[in-house]
Amino acid sequence: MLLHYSVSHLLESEGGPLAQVDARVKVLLSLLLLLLMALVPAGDLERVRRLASVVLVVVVVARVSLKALILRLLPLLPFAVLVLFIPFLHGGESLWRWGWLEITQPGLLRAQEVGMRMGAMGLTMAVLSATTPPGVVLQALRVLKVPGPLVETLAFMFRYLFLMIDEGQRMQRAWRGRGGEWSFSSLAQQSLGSLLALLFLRTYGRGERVYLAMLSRGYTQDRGKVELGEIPRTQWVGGAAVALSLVVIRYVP
Amino acid sequence: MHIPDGFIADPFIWGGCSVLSLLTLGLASRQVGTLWQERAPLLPAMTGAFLFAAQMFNFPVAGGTSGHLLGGLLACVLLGGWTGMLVTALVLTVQALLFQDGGVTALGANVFNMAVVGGGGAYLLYTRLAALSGSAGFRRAMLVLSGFVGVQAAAFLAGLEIGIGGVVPTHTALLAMSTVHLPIGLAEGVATAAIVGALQRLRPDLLMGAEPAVVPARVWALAGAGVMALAGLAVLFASSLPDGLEHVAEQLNFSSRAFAALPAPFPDYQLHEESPMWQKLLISAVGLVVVSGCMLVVQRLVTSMRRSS
Repeated sequence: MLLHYSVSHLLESEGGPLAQVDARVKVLLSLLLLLLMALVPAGDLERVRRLASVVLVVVVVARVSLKALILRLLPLLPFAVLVLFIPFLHGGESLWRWGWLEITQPGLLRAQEVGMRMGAMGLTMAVLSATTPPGVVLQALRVLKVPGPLVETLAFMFRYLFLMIDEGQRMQRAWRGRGGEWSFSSLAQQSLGSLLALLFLRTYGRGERVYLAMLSRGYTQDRGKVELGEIPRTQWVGGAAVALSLVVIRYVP
Repeated sequence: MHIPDGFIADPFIWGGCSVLSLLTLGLASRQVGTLWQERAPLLPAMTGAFLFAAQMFNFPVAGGTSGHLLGGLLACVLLGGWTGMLVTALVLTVQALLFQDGGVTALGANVFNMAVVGGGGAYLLYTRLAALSGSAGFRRAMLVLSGFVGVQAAAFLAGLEIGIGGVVPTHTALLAMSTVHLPIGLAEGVATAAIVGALQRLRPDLLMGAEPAVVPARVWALAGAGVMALAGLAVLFASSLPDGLEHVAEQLNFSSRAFAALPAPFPDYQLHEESPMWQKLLISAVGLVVVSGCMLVVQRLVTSMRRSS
């Protein structure tokens, strides 16, 4: 069995200067950066390059370890491979040809643009999640007016995720010991289906017990809220300045 | 199938998908309010975490590729259609925000593909098919089929969204996505059926959506309108190249002998050569309405004939 991606790195939040900045400021600025990048019209390589260099500066300033960034960018790998194929897929002026394989000028420009967009936007989110504890990122969604019950469900989901993974790894070890094998045929013969269903039930049982215990100790939706406190005035001003300069960098001709 | 940021180049595509997803999720959250209060966030959150955990494990499928469960249909069978869609959307949100799996600006498109169409749409199909027979084996087979169709539809949409933006030519994107997701769709269906079957034996009380519910007419109307809109959109990207028969006719030099027995009102979806986009859209809409009207009439006829016999 292969892990689609690892989650243990998520529990380790990196230090660095950006870790001190309020999560809401970081979330809003990251979303603004993503939005500005996504609104650059296709083919405008110059502006994509400008915004991508801003992201590179942020990465350097944040002083996040290379390992943390690479681990977080792993899910992008299949699409990075796809970017390598883009130069062959567009028609236009030919740069290199070998049999039916042909690299074209428009294809190469397109690949450059998509690669830069994807890399820069991925890095933005990677830096955000590397410098902010996951629970706090979810709580910061409340500034974006995401309804409270949804944020609570997200927080619960995140909490149970690790329970589920631990339980799953334990059960899988036992299943392997009994000769189970992770394959399509075992899925079809329902042994894997039963295992997954059992995983759900066992974690559900544990989750229910924990939740009832929380309720009996007086947990309510509001108590579960992580208080983020006031945003310091210096961070307001700094955040606004960064936002303004991002807009200027994007729109200045 | 989680499209990352930067792969949907056209702002109208990711913006439009986000609006569609928000509207559907808004509808969904109005429907699920009571469930959320009664059973607290426990069951939805557990289901979400389960989907999440199940998605992290890749299983090998034919041809050296690997795939993982998407789980939209599973969530709907566990929690009912509306809640299932909402939970799948929440899972996608966590993945985009914390795991960089799927983009943030592409979140609307990913939610639309995998939660709304791959989850809710597949579930709608399942309830329709499951109502045909009460046999457990038949229903399991229908789960496999609906799971497969849901994944294929989601993959098709993802290909279309990437293609329209021009990152990869549309036909290449569609072909690649559909082929890669053939085995994955099959595995999705089989896995969903296996998990639901096991849960039915062990804790049937937790399955809120396994019995085919009566779907209100307006939901069908909405889904129908959605399918029509998508089909209309697809017409715009219909290939202007000759189809198989036309190609053979041209190769064998008898295409010039072909003539229309009845002059078509809108040949090649155009009023005249090089019609603007809105005319093509209008014409495809008219065509779809006419075709579905004919199908409705045929269905009515067949039903009334059955009743009278």
